[in-house]
Amino acid sequence: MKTAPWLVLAGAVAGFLGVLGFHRPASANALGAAAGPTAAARASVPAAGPAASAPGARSAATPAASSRAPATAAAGRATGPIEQYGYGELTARVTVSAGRITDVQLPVIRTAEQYSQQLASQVIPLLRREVLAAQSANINAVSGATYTSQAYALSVQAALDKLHFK
Amino acid sequence: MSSPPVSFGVPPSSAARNRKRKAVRAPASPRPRPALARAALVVAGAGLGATTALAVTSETASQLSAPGGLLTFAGSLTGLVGTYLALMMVLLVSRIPFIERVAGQDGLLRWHRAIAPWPISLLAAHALLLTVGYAQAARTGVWHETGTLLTKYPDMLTATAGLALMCLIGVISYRALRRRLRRETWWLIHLWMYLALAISFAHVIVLGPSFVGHPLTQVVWSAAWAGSAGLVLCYRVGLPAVRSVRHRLTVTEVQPEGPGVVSVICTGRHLDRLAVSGGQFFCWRFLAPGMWWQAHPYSLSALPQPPYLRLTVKGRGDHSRSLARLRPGTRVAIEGPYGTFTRYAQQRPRALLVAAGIGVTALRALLEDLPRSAAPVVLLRAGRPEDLVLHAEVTELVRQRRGQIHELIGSREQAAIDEVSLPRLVPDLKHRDVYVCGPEGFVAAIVDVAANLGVPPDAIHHEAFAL
Amino acid sequence: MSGSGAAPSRAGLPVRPVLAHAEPVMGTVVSFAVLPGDLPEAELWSALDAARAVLHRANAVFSTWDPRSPVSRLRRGAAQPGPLPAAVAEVAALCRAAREASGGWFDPWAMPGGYDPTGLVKGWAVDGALAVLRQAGLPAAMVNGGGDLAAFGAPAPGQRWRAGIRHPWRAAALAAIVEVRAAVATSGTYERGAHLIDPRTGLPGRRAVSATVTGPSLALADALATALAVGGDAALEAIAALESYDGYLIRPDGSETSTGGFAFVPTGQASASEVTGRRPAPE
Repeated sequence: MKTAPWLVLAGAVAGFLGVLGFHRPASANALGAAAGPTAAARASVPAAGPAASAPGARSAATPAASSRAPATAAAGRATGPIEQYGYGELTARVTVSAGRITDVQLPVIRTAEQYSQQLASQVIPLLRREVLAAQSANINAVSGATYTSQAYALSVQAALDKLHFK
Repeated sequence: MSSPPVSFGVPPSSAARNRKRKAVRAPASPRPRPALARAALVVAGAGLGATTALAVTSETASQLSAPGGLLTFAGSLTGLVGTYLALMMVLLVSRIPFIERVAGQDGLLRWHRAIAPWPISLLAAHALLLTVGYAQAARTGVWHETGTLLTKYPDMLTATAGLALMCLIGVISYRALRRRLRRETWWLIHLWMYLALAISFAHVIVLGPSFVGHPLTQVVWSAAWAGSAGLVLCYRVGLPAVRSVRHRLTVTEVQPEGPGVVSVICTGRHLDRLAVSGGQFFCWRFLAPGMWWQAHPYSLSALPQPPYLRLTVKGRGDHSRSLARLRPGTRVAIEGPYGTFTRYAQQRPRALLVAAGIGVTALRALLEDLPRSAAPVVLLRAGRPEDLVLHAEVTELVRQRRGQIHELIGSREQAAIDEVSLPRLVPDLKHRDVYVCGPEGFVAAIVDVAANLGVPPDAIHHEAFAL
Repeated sequence: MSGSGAAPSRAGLPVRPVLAHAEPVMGTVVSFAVLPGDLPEAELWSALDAARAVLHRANAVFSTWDPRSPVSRLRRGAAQPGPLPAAVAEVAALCRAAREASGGWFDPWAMPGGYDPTGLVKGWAVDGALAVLRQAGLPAAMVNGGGDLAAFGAPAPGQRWRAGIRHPWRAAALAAIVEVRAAVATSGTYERGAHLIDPRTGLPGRRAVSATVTGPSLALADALATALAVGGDAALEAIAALESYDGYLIRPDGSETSTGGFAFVPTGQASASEVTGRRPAPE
């Protein structure tokens, strides 16, 4: 068929543009969807506040918090911001009860490439326990050899700070 | 053994038929639909474009400028495109009927061979580029990174094994190496390509940046692979098996037709439901010791006359020679019918049929399919008069269709069909489709001659019998 | 990506709010923890922006992974598009001081591929970012450049900033807790493998698994931590001779040692069950 190459080319262009047009909005939705499941939990706990939204929105929620029990945070969940540190995305969900972190989960892990793969399989389980240890040691930061799991720790720290946890 | 030999011959003219028991005819194969094939081409192209876009959209600008970023992107792109092309290769030879009817089994195989180097090279490049790119990103050496990739990443060992298998198959398919292998050995090794693709599938979904965290992409990709696997199972394995079981062909008789030429007559059930057009061929697998593992393509030398099928074969290779020794009662499994050497290919009102030697078999069946008003011109080329097999039948068929038949017997110097003799034999060549069937060299020569005489390429149809 | 603590009402809340920010740069993520105090929002954000700009400028000049950076060109002897930024000379001077102070265990000029100040640049950049925050009038701030941190002020009245030092191989455990007086830098082979080169042999050094140095300047502490990780006990002696710098190292066999002035926080104050304390038994 003489027209065969042209047909294939026409299809290729159409397919290429189609995926290109479809892909961008989809990834934004995926990001929004990732924050979605925690929204319900967040909405019911005013002390926690919407962690993933812009800083401006935060301050609106907090005056209510300041009138509640001051020093320790109430029970609740906060999701740290989604950190994009290179080849993957991490976000951390911290469960606080009576002012202490009782659980740390990673509800969204999108990993690819080397660091992220190792992160997902080896480092993140370790970090979870590390975070729990760190908070009980009452420290503000962790000093160590540089690693991209910093993003994870930071998510937790950010979440902690938002919960007024000291 | 004591029953009289089956007389296949030529079906009587319609008047005689009405007086006798109404002979049942098998239906013709479905008409080819070029529009469907064209749509399939567009869809295939769209898949290629979409796959390329997947690779492009999975990287961001900052990732590209990171260490190893460019190489990793190139590795991603080559991997995706290479895999997609491999999938296309599989589909090309999956014998999907509506594609085969338009392109023909031989055409599809030609495309398959032409595309073959691309997926293998792209996938080998993919492995290399990603290893070096990852090594740069991790700031380690390439060998260390290879070790990490193989041991710490899921599904990578199987993917590497699959790639190695693919490269092996590619290497042995080089003409130089392929000739040294027996055809069956080469083909058996080639079949492992399905396994290579199957074991490589997982690592794409689990590790590819376009797929991790993109469930829709994963679903679509998996569906494409599952669908292709389904098509292969259905049309390469399932349909032939169903046909063989339904028609239950067995060898009834082996009749000599000429020096080194025999006709094998098979009996089957429900042959009135086997849709064949004259000129098409089947892949025949005779379930006899020593022959059951091979399937060879032979054209039908007559339209089915239920309950009989006939193929006529010249003994040139091991397999064709052993057909002469087939014992009646041998079961036969068939794949097909395949081929576009049919009356559907005809575009002009008249036809010229040219055959040499055993090429007359496909021609004889094709003739039977032409209408009574066809007035074909038939040229038969043979070295000696006894090499003109099925001559009586062909003559009768031509007479029934008010055509002309010319026998050109002798050596190549004495009785050549060339730019001088052909116009003399066929003055209205410009108004005829040309069908050529015979050995490769002969077919190539006649196609050349016809082209030189101004016959457009889409009016020339050929079927070359190779060993 | 930033988050803010409660908006401070001026009526003395016992909880001091802390503003946290994460900045991906220099191949890691630099985190800021800042006490805004009485600073107006606009000035606070502009101070943060300036601090971040310091980090990115440092990356643009010193990154050995970006072939366009002046230092990359310097390393391969390529032509420079213009005069070298003043920062290059400043860092080179600091490197010379660090080389002398570490007794030669930190030597950017003996690195494979050419002059490589990477072991000092991160600390120097964080120092610069912190200085911007201090000059803006913030009461307290801590900047953690992916494990090397510097801080000033008090996170809460009467408290000092505290950092836990990661245990190299015991998950969920901290090797120790240190009081951050100014700067804390840690270097180790447990994250990126054998990437610390011994300047004397040109080969990867393995005398310490984790090395922490504290002192007034994070740039110097960063370099000294690298030196300590490579040189082990020999480098620790050189650090002990320095006036305001202290070191703490964990050897590959699990044993530890430190200089006398290292500001460990005693375990009793830490109140954690999983913190191993100052001197754990070797494994």
